[in-house]
Amino acid sequence: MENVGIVGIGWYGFSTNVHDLSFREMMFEAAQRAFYDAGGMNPREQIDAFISCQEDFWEGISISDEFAPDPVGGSMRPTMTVAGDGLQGLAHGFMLINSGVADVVVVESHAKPSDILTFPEIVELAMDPVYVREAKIPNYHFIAGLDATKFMHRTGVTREDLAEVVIKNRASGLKTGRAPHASMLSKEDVLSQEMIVYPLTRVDVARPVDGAIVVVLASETFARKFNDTPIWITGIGFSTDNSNLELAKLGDAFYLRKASELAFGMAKLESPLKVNGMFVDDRYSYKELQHVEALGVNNVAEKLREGYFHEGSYLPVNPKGGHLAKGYPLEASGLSLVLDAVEYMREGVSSAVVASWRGIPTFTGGVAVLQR
Amino acid sequence: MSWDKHGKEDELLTWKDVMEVERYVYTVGPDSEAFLRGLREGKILGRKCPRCGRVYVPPRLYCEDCFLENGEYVEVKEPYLDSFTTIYFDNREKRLDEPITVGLVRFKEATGGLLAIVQGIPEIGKKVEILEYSIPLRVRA
Ligand SMILES: [Zn+2]
Repeated sequence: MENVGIVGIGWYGFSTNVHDLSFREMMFEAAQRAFYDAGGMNPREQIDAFISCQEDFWEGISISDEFAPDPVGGSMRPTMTVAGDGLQGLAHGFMLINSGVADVVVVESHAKPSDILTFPEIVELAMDPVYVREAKIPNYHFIAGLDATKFMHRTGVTREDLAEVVIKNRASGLKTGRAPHASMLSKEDVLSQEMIVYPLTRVDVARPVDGAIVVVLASETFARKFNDTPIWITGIGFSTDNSNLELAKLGDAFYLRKASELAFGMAKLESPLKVNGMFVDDRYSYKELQHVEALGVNNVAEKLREGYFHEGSYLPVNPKGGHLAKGYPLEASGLSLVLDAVEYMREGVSSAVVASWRGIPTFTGGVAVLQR
Repeated sequence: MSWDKHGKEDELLTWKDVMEVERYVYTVGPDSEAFLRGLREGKILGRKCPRCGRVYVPPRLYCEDCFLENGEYVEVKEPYLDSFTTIYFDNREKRLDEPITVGLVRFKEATGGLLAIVQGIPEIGKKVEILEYSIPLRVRA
């Protein structure tokens, strides 16, 4: 079984509206940057397989996988698509290499929500048509509201705690060139916001963002050909709790508990507290805490209040700002967190955990353990 | 890294189109049909797994744990609020005339639940009274 390393990563966009380029051109731009990052590799000769993560309804094109190969260098080459989050695609790339099917694999995902003129209606099309969509609840964030209320009731997390997450992440984003929603907010700023959907205000909810991300994976045998210091994926897993809202666990990210069990077992990681940073889906402020808890960290409210999750402390969570600062690029959201983790590790730390979620109305997420 | 990018608004083109997705027939299946008929008679039906005894609400053909066809339909009782939220703004960020409280209502000794519009003061775990058998339910907390 071959070890799998990230040898190159590239991105384009992270703007609320990349007005000048289509999603295919954004893919090309991100791919160019990833290949440059992987020692200037030639994608037409040095890559065995290509994986694109996308979902037709986001693209406005059905059977959009037909569009996947050529913008990333995969024309007439083995290409597969994953109708899911980029971290799931990363797991598929991992499996291709780990099993010996391929040595070098490209994983791509992108989002152009600025093209979607009926965004909430598209989200609603993902809901069960009879029991959930038919209820015609006027704001799709209600599912997050139900989940957040139950989570806070169980854990004692308060509105002040959520505000702290918002402040921390939006400020952390100011350090990157990739965070259109980064800002300096005070506790007063956050707590004085009006509720959109209880217990969430406008600033507790991340916005969709345009972006494309390309990751180059290589086996241990080939990795150093492209990069002197690959970042190893030592564990990876993904899981769905339930496709039915009423059967999934509310108030607990069960999907990440399962996924982290798989990933931590594979990485032989005894405790989540032993990594240098966590990059978790925070498209709602409470989700950051719920996801950190699902990774096995107890008493998240107390730890947050003690400053545990802030940068420079024991276990920085989203030190690059997460989705609250950057926005969430739909199916590329997981790779956005991977990108943050890779940049963070390249600054000198040795390990990180990434935990993704596919967003409303799903109960699907993935976990990757990264080490160098 | 295409070197020559254009950013002037009048040089950029977008192509407006409409995705025809608003018309579709969803087959509800026999279990939802039974459920919807029950709803009309003021009953909430679930369906019980013959092996593990799990009662699914809404009813469904099979138990996902045992992967067996579920057995009898049973009327479930004692609805309570599993969680709730209050909505102040709609999807387009327009303020609602009146905030509405939405809950997930579960039933004693059953798995699953139903969405409901909640009147009264919501509380997690609180028993509710069903005022209207519809999708969503209308309940009083
Ligand atoms: Zn069963």
